[in-house]
Amino acid sequence: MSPQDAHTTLSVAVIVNGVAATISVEEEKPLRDVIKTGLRDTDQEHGHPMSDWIVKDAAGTPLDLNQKFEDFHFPADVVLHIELRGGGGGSNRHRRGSSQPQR
Amino acid sequence: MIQFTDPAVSQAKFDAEVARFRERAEEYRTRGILLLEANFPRAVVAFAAVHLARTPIHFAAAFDFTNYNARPLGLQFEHPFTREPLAAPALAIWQRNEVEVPDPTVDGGVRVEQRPPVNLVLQHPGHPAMLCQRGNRQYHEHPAHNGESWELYRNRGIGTLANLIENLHLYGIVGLGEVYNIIAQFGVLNPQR
Repeated sequence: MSPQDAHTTLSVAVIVNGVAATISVEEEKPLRDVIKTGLRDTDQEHGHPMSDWIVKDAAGTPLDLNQKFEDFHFPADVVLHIELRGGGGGSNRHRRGSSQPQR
Repeated sequence: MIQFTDPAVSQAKFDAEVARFRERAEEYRTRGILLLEANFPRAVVAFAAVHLARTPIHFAAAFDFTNYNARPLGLQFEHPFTREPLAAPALAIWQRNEVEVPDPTVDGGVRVEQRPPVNLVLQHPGHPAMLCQRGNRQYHEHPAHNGESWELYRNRGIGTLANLIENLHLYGIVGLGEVYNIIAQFGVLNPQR
């Protein structure tokens, strides 16, 4: 194996849609890889597109999925939250200020 | 709502989801998420903004497990102390509209595009405030959402107690600092006063 093929693998605590797990993460990979691994390891691959998922820190702030895991400099005891966006978010009809249900 | 499914099933799901909350109660508490009540079919969760200096308890969400999960969880906003229903102006639940768009110039091939935020709380005359987001009964039973059947999302991770709590926290609490001063300035946090 050449030096550039070597990856640093860490064990990271995650909570995937309410289910706690510890997963293996390669430091050099983008954060979005945490989603794939977390969903697989907690058996929650429900067929949602990746864009439906977000990763949050302990404070609940969404993190940039394109950033490499190592660039966040997480503490060793970090717990990452992998959550499913609710979606919906009000229809255009609602946003136009209608006060009556639309049919 | 009348319980028309086997109550033992809804009760078992209620027990399982509340137990899952309690397993993580300490972690939830550090984020200002507190379980106030858990008596089937009702679980009430309060949401506080721990990142703000005076740590306001902004609202409570009452979840109704009647017929769950043949039907989605009912969700009503309540005052955390008086249990009175909260009107939409007392709530500030805004969804930052972040859309992932393909972009081959960035690592991963996707970048996040910001769209104008959307108010997720609606209230029609004579009805309680509702969360306009998938996974709760009021959303799926709203006549404007007749293309959003609960069956499209049931057992797919959306609409569980944990999922609704996380979305309420993300959109109702995490971003609260940005709008809290504006809301307080206009005196709509306590509309009865």
